[in-house]
Amino acid sequence: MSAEEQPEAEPDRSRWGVPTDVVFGAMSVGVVPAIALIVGADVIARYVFSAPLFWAQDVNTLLLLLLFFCGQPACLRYGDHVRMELLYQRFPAFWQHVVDSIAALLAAFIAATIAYRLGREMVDPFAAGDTHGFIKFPVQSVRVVLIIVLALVIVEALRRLIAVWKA
Amino acid sequence: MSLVLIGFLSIAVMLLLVAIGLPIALAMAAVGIAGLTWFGSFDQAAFQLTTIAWETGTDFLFITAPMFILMGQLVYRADLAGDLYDCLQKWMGWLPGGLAIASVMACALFAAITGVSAATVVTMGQMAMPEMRKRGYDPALSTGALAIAGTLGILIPPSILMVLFGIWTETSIGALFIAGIVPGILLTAGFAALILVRCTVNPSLGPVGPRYSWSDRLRSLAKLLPVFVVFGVVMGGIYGGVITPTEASGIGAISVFLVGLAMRRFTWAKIRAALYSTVRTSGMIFLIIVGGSLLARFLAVTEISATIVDVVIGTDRSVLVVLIGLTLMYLVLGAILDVFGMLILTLPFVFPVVVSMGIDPVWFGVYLVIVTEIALVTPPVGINTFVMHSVARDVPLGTIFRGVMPFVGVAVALLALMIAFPGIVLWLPGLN
Repeated sequence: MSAEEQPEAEPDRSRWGVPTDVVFGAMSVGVVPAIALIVGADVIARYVFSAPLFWAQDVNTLLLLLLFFCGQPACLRYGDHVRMELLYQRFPAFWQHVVDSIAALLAAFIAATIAYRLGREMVDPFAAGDTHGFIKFPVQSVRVVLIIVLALVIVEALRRLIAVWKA
Repeated sequence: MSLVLIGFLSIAVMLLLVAIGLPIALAMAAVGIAGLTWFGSFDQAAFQLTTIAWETGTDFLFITAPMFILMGQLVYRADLAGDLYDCLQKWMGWLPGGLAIASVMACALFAAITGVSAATVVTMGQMAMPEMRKRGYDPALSTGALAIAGTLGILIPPSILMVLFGIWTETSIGALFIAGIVPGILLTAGFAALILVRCTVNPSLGPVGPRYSWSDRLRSLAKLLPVFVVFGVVMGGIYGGVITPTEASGIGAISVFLVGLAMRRFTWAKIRAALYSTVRTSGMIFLIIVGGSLLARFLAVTEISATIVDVVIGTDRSVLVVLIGLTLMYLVLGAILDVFGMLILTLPFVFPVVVSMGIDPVWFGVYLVIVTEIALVTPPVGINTFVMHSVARDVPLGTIFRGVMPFVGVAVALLALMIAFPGIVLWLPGLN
């Protein structure tokens, strides 16, 4: 069942979940409407005034990247990732914990891998000056934000790992 | 060890990880990273993973997904389902099985606008079931109708599944949307006709309800006009070639928001919930795409897709045999996997085969969506059936599955018609 079909999950109020909720909340409320508004403004500017916003597509793709990445800690936190539960539900609790632990470790590993690569690009003199699109937005700053979000994914995965065995 | 053997072993490992309950996206990404590390180095695998995540995240086409999800969420949170059901039962309630027909049509329209399946079953089920119980409707008929009708949302545009199919296979999303209209209408009409015939032959299945005056009917219709206008603008804009699907998605989301505000249907909590759900669902889809793409890149190295295509083409099977085989495969997969997972897992192998056999990608996209719909309600794990059971606890699962089966027959009949007359799907996009 996807997130859109799930009931609202009760947020876990533990201390370690707070950064995820803050980033997730801010991104949801800020980025999603921003993308919609920019698309709408560009359509009006393009088709009504014949003056398309040259920056719209570049800004929106950066916002989209943020939206996708910022959704990751929340997906992990609320267990939104699609999985097949036919066998899992029949496992004894211990093996369910093992599967959940592998999932948490994999999530942390994948986030760490992307963060590692982004980090390498940050110190790479050939990539340091990269810019995005016509607006020449400095990619370096995007990398910093993404690494912070990925760090949140790792924290969330480790929190989940601990919670699995505490339960 | 040959490349192809490594490919098959990797798929086996990935399926094992999925089977034990690891999230599909993580299982695919893990196998992809391991495979690319095996053939190259960890650095290369990390580079591929990061590049895919970046390219996917900055692909302008993908804006369509969160915007249509937002549009659906806003419609869902604006409580428009009640208006829809009220309107349709006033128009259809006097027919034999009228309430069930109204439920099917309300589900179809609601699911089409929201693009979600299970939530439609819950929302409509909670409204329609008490009414149908009160009127003495057969539980199998009423629950079966609701469970199957919820699946119509992934066929009738705008459909998130079609957006993803279009992006993954580089097929025109606009053409896919337009192609889904006629089969969607036919399927809805087929479900309604089945109910009408069954209840006419055996009136105890769905007794006739009261007739409403024309003024009542028109009044109920007026409440829905703004939403239909939004839907018309979105689909009309795409079909007319005036705006792209990406632009239509943004315009649709803004329009629904304004309509909801004008109708005083939103609170801050509802808007926030819609935004939160949009980010969560988008994040979930994003990771599936990244994991699937990474796996696909690794499998491309193993040349497994090309080998499968060669084998299928080499055995000289007819298109019909291949399609029947694919249908059975998807029904089995759909019974155990989510629709997104099912598609990303299979498309890297299936799509090249389909294209090499000369099957139109748009036709195949619609066909795949209908097969997915069937998989959502068939035993042992038809998700919608379980969701329906959660709404009507007193109706045994077996009864719901029994109630769904005649409708599955209608969907299979439509598939057969589509195979016999591909024009059912391709006619409308061909006019454009």
